Formats: sequence, structure tokens, C-alpha cells
Amino acid sequence: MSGSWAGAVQLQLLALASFAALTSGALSLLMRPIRRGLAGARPEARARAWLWIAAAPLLGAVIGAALCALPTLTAAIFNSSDHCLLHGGHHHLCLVHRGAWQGGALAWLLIGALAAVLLAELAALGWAVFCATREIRALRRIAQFDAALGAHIVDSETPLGFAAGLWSVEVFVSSSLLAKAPRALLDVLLAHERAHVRRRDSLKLTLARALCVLHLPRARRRISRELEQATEQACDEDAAAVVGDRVAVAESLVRASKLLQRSSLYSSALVRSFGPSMLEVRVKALLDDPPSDARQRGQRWRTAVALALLLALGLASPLHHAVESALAPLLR
Amino acid sequence: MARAPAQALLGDLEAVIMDHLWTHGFGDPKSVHTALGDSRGITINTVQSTLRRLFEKGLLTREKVSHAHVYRPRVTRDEFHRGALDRLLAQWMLGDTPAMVSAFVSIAERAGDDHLEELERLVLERRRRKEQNS
Repeated sequence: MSGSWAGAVQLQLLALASFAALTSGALSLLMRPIRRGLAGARPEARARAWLWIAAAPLLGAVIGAALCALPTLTAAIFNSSDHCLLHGGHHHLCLVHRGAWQGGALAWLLIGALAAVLLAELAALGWAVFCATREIRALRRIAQFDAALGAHIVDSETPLGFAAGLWSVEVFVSSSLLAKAPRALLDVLLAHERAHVRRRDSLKLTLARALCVLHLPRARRRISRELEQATEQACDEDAAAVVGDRVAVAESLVRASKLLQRSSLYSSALVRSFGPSMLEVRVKALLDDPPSDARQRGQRWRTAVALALLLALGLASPLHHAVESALAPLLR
Repeated sequence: MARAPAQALLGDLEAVIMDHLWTHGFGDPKSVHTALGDSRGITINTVQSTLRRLFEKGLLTREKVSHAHVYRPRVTRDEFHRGALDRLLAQWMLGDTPAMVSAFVSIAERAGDDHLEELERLVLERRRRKEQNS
């Protein structure tokens, strides 16, 4: 049985897209229980989990397609009869035998449209990263580096401190913040921003935004926000460990917000605000007792994922057949 | 309403040309190209279009002298640098804050005064309880 490579590649691409869509749809429906399940975890573990969730449609597509290819590949390697030879009736998702399917115009159109949408989204993200890189480079050019603080000082009336950059992340503090903020607030802020630098959060958040293009828009917004919140909270915890006082970090957050919102830029700005503010969540978490050690919980998750993968390996052949049957109407 | 982000910060060539004009006070495309063009390997057309872009951004004024435009800075170097972060922040507040920027307190969110006072009260209460316990 031999046929067109184009047809075989088309079937694999359709399988990849189907698995990505299935994973993304399932996650979209399960978003609420997932949030509840992660709520008690330590921020660092939560940030890691949301990053994996951002990557889930891509992983789902790759793992699903690999599982589908497994029966035919093992048959080819061990020279045994395989699914393709057992089932007539439909086109085969097999790079070894490549059924008679030559590739259809409608399916190519669908794949092309999906690829165009994804590429457009990735290009927009790439452009945003390029612009932000240029802006941060320009900001560094006009800032003065203070070796004692380990931060770039920017002359500005808006009291703000932030970490910026993709590969090389640096801390920026405005001259107004230096003038207005007490030393304790500055210590907390610098510890928080250094935690961002050490954890390479900019890179992770940018990567997550790229991975999120495979999610539905609503889930995409939710994942970005949850990841951002967990990341900020992880840095709050790092800062609390440095200064040795969680309440001091909460206090600094409120003070820094007050300073920022009284600045002329913010008092006149229409700034977006939705749901319970991230500030409120962060402050309340710091005022509560620290989350318990999540090592056991992490171990349970890893065991569950390993078991699911083992189960999927066992079900590779029925999965292979199910995908072929599901794609059949599209290929008529 | 936030100030319109006419431009946030300058690109590399724009910054070099602005530096040149801030130092020398004025210049036409030919004189700017003579000063900067050879070392940067750029043509007079590139200099001309960059000057025009800076003029459109409101950073330069220009007057026609003979056949060429003579450009002058509209803002001083200090004025421009002082407002640079605010212009960038205004841009980030109006659009999406880039994932590459992590501020201590969110740039894009704003809690009301009442809300901040309530949080401040919670912090004080927690501080008091902590001190009592210790």
C-alpha cells in the first residue's frame, strides 16, 4: 500500500490540530476546577502549573500525534501486521504505509487558515516583543545606573519600580520613588524585582503568551492573569524571605500603590480594573499564614500525569483508529 | 485621560540625531549627514526621513532656508528625558503592558482610594495582632 506523502502529512497535521483543539476546549471547560485545585498551592508551584497549562494544547497535540503514530511505527519496526492492514474503510494516519489519500483541497484550506491565524498571532506577539525591547533599551540609555542599589534610575515624576528585559533583565526605579519612598519600601521593592530577575519571569511570561495562542480567547486571558498573579506572589514570598517579614511586604505594596495612584499620570488616567484587583489578592495572601509545603501535592500531580501517560500508551491503538474514523468525514 | 503617547522613546538613529541637534542647536539633512552619515554608513535620504519623522513626532521644528529644511529641537534634552518614562507608562497603560515588564504594583490596574484604605486597615490590624502575639 503506497500513496502520497502530501496526503500522509495532511492527515498528521489534521490530527495535530484536532488534539490541540480538544485539549484547549477541555481546559477551557475545566478552568474553574483547575483554579480551585491550584488555589491552596504555593505561588511558585502555581506559576509552574499555569505555565504547563499554557503549554498543554501544544503538548496535547504532540503527545496525541505521537500516540497515534505508535501502532504503525511499532508494526514497522517489529515487522508485524498493523492497524492499516486490519482496517479498510478509511484513510490511514500512517507515515509508513501512506494510504491512497492524496490530500484534499478543503483540508489544505482548513490547515492553511489555522496556520495563518496562528502565525498572525505569533507575528503580533513578536512585534510587541521587538517594540518593548527597543523601548527598554532606550530607557536604559537615558537612565543612570546606581551600583549601590543595583538598579537603573530614571528621571520621572511617576513613583514606580519594575524589572524589564527578555534575556537580560534589569531593575529600573524612578527618581520620584527614590525621593518619596521610605528605605523599608525600597528594600522590599528591590528584593521583589531581583526575584523576577533571578526567576527569569519575563522570559517565562513571554513564552506563556506565545503558547497561549493555541487556547481559546477567554482561557488565554485567564491563564495569562493567573500566571502573572502567581509570578508576582512568588516574588512577594521571595521578598518576604529577604526582609524577614511578610506583613512588611504587604504594607509596602499598599504604600507603593498609594504613591503611584497619587502621581499626576495615574490620577488622570483611565486605567483598566476588573474583578478583585491583583493588589488585593497579593496583600491578603501575605497577611494570611504562608501556604503549606506543596511537595506532597506536587508528587500526587506527577504520579497522576505519569499514570495518564501509561494509560494513553495502552490505548494507543484504539486512539489511532478513533482519530482516523473521526477525520474520515472531512476527507470524503 | 492619559496623555496621548505621541511617541514613547527614540530608536537608535533617532536618538543619535536628537543628540546631535541638542548639542549643535540646529541642522539640515546635509550637515547632519556630514556629521553622522559616514560613521554609521547611512545615506542622506535616511537622515532626511528620520528628521521628518522626528518633526512629525513633535520633537523638532523646521523652517525652509533656500531649498532645504533646517531643523531645531522643540524640547530640551532634560525635558525629553524627564518625560520619557511617563510617555512609556501612558502607552503601556492604554495598551497591553508587555510581558517583559514586571512592575512591583500593576501598571494597568488601579485600586480606588477606599479600597486602598481598607487594605491599609487590614495590614495595620495584622501588624497589631503580630505584635501582641510576640
